[in-house]
Amino acid sequence: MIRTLKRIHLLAFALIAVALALLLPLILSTRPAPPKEERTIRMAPAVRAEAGVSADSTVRVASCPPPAVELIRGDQHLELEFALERSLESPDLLLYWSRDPAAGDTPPASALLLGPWTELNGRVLSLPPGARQQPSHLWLYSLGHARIVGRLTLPASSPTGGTRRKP
Amino acid sequence: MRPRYRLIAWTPFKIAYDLALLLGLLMFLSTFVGIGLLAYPEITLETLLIRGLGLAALLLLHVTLSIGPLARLHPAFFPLLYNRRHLGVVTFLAALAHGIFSIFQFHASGNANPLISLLTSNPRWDSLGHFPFQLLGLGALLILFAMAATSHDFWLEKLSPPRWKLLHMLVYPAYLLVVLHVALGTLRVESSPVYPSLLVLGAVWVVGLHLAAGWCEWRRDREQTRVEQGGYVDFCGVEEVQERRARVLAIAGQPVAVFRHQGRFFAVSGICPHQNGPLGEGAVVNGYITCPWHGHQFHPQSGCAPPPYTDCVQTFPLRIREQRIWVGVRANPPGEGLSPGSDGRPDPGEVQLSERRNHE
Repeated sequence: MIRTLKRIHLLAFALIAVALALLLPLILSTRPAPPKEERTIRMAPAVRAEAGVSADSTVRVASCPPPAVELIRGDQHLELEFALERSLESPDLLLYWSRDPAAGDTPPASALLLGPWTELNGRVLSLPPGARQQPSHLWLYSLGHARIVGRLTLPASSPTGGTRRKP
Repeated sequence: MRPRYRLIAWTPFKIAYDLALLLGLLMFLSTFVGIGLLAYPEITLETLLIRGLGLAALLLLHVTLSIGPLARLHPAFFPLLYNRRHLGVVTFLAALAHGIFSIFQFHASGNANPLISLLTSNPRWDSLGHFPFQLLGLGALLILFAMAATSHDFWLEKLSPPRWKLLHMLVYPAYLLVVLHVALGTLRVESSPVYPSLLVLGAVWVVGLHLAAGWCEWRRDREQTRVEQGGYVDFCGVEEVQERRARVLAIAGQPVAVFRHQGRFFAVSGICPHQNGPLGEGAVVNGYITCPWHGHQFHPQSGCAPPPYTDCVQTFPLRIREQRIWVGVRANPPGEGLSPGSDGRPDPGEVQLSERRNHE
């Protein structure tokens, strides 16, 4: 029995060695690129103009680097495409949208939860129809700190539609 | 009825060992959290505890897994084996705390049951970037739980040493799960090359040690005795066995250890009957062969533990011919060489008889 256990031990670690030799380089080599040094990323002028957002509108995230936000207008409803330029140090950020203003440090009860911020990379989110007919708000809300750490006001758009851009 | 072998459950040394271990863990966590709060004031205490406990469990797992092969490669590491189970239980407790804090932080804020959320919230098994790495950690934690829950000698006796050992060898796949959990989890968002390098170094260290120790044992087990005459096999030369130590070879598939003590040679089973420990890797201490795993002792000639214990290991007949040690294929009857009711040491007549037999 002891010799059987020894054989199992040697075989198990031979398999573990092969598995780690194959998987670790693959996993570690496909990690996201290191973050850039810039702390603020503003929207591209063309996208900003099309979305009807003023030039000084950016998403500002307290104490951690802001991601890039692009506003793209579709024919029926507003679509937001997010491209994270760097990893966030706060793992618990949630993105909310609402037409109503925030009540203090928390989004209003009517706010729509769009999802965890760190899971939005490359995903297209749809807002309710008619979302752009009135000014509305986006918030980044930290669960851990229980407060809004980033906000963006979306002005009402003109009635002419736009085309969707690729980020 | 004479008592059978029972492990001493608690000793002052074990208490001091456990207190030092817990104190070290608390100091590590305090330092980690303190430096974290100073360097990253925006990080919550809960997040720092998750990271600190996870790192502590990872380091403890590496240490625990290193002890076995180190002791096989060099006897100086034998003392570390004695309380390895305590180290393993503390590793599980640190990993459990890491898991509980993580579930609270990442899965307890929604409407779904946190455990259901943990199991179902991320189905992206086909994505390296978003792989559900938390489930890998959960799998490792379940294995560590099974090991910690059965680490007491009660389960060792109930399961029998081979089954118990087989169960505890699940720590090897658990280690693989832990490494992948870290690589697919926190290292995905770490930009520094330091942390991946440390993880790779740790994996190379642990896997390399186990492969080296396993390879040495495999080669040793393959060294079969070649010559057999009259029920005895040519074991080795007398100069190959160091004083108070043993040389181990397989006879008929079973490890047999030949110890040298005060110039005499004794052949006993190479396996301790209590935990299947490598008795042949032990040493003769105070005239008794001492198991390197748990310190239990057996008389080299009779194979029996000193009174009041009645446990014995098999002994084998042994002869010396032309500076070569020959060991009998068939084991002696249990307790041969002991006079009934003695103090565990052979009487002078038996010593003379044995010496004639051992050195004829």
